Amino acid sequence: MTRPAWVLDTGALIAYAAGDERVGMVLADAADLDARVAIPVICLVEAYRELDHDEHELLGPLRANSAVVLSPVEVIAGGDSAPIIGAMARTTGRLGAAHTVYTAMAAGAAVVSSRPDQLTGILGGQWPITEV
Amino acid sequence: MTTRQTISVPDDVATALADVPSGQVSAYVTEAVRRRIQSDAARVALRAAGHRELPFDPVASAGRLADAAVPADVYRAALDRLAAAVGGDREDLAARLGRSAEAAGW
Repeated sequence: MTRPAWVLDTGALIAYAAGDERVGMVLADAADLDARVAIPVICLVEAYRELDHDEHELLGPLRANSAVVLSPVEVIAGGDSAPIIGAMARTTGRLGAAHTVYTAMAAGAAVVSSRPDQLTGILGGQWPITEV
Repeated sequence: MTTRQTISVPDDVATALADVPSGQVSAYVTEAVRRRIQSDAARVALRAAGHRELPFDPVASAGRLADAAVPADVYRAALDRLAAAVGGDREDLAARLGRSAEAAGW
């Protein structure tokens, strides 16, 4: 599978549900180029928490998009990402932001985020981040 | 199963197809159409979520994809900050990130 080129954080998922053009453009670009967009599972859960119940269905087509891949928290031997994501949350302030950073670094991917300030403590100010 | 189709194409497309080795034109066109089907399906999903119509413009998309690339020095600096934040060894963390990518099939 192609390595994801972009990662959507919780805020980007909420922006998607609101029809934000910057998120839509990333998804259209991925489809046009046969590229991939990753969604960290913790961000997906956070997005469901933030959205109203009647907005949950808006994430369905996004999850069904063939360009979208979910990034899990791995608990496999030798590749356990839980301790790193958990420890990193002390710097990012949120578990979702930490999982976004972890996914971006695992994929070497750009990020679409509503809170770049929570990511740059690890990723730095030069990491490609689209603010939504 | 396959179906024989007769289509008309503009001169520039005909010129491009003429450069494709004989016997591979059908596969070439099939791949291009499948990509367009994927693009159209993505736009159907975007419209369902209330997004406006976005143009099919692979050249502009490729430019934005290039802008999304993470420079090597930026990545190395992030790895240093990650190691400092979680108290881990830089090389070990790099290996773990690599194993996560591998486990995800990337």
